[in-house]
Amino acid sequence: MPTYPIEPGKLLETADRLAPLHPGRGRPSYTAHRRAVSTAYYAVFHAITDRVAKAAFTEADTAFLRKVQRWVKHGDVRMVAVWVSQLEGITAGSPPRHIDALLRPGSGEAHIDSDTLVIADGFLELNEKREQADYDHDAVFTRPDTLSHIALAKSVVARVEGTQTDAAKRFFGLVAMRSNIQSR
Amino acid sequence: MDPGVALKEFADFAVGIEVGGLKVHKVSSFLDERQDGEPVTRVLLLVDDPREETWELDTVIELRRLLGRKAIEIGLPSVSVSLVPESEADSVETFVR
Repeated sequence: MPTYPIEPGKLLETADRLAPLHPGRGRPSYTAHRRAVSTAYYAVFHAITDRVAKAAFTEADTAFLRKVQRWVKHGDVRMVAVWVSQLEGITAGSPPRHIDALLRPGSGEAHIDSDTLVIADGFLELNEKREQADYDHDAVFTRPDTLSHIALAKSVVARVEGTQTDAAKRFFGLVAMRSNIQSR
Repeated sequence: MDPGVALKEFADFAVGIEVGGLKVHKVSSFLDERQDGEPVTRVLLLVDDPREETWELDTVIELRRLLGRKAIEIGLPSVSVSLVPESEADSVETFVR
C-alpha cells in the first residue's frame, strides 16, 4: 500500500519550486512567495514534530510515531520556543519562574545552546511569517525576503534533524510534555 | 513609554543601521496583533539590494535580533520584520509616499 508521508525535505523542495533562486522568464507572483514561506514553515514544523515524537517514544515504530506526531500543536512548539527566546533576551517578557529555574538553573550552565537557539528563534520567525503569509492581506513578501525565509527554514531543518546536543533534546522533550493526547 | 514615542525611537534607531554590509535606509513600523491576539510590532525595512539573489542569512538574523532587543529595551512588543530591497521600493506603498 502506498504511503504519502509529510517529509520536511520534500516541503523545502516545494518551497524552492514556488520561489526559485533562478526563475526563468517572468517572476513568481507574490502569492507564490506567500505559499513558499508557508510551505517552508511547515518543513520546520514537521521536522520538529518528528524529533518530539522520537524524544518521547524512543523505540516506537514509524506508524506509531506518525500518529503521535499529529498531537504536537504549533502552539506547543511556539510556547517552548518563546521561553528560550525570552531567556536569551530576543523576545519580550519572561518565562514562568519554574521554567526559568529549569532552563537556567542557579548553578551550572543554562540548558540553551546554539542549536537550541537557532531552532527556537528560527521557528518563531517562520511561525510568525507563516501566519502573515496565510492570513495578513497587508503583509509584504518581497522576493529576496522570501528566499531568505526559505534559507532560514533549510538551516533550521538541518539543525533539527542533525543536532544531538543535550540542550536540544531537552527542548524537544519539553515540547513533548506540553503536547496532549488527542481524541484522534 | 507612550507607544507613539517608542515607535519613533525605534525608527530613529533602525534607520542607518548597518549589519554585515546591509544598510537600513527607511523604516515603517506600527503596532498590530497576531491571530491569537498577542501584540506585535510590524516593521518594514527598506534596505540595500542583495548582492546575489538574497542577503546573507547570518546578516538577516543578526539584524532581526538587534531590532528585537531594541524593541524589548523600549517596551515595544516582539518585532516582525519584513525586508524590502531598494529596487522593489516602488512596489511597497509605504515607501512610495
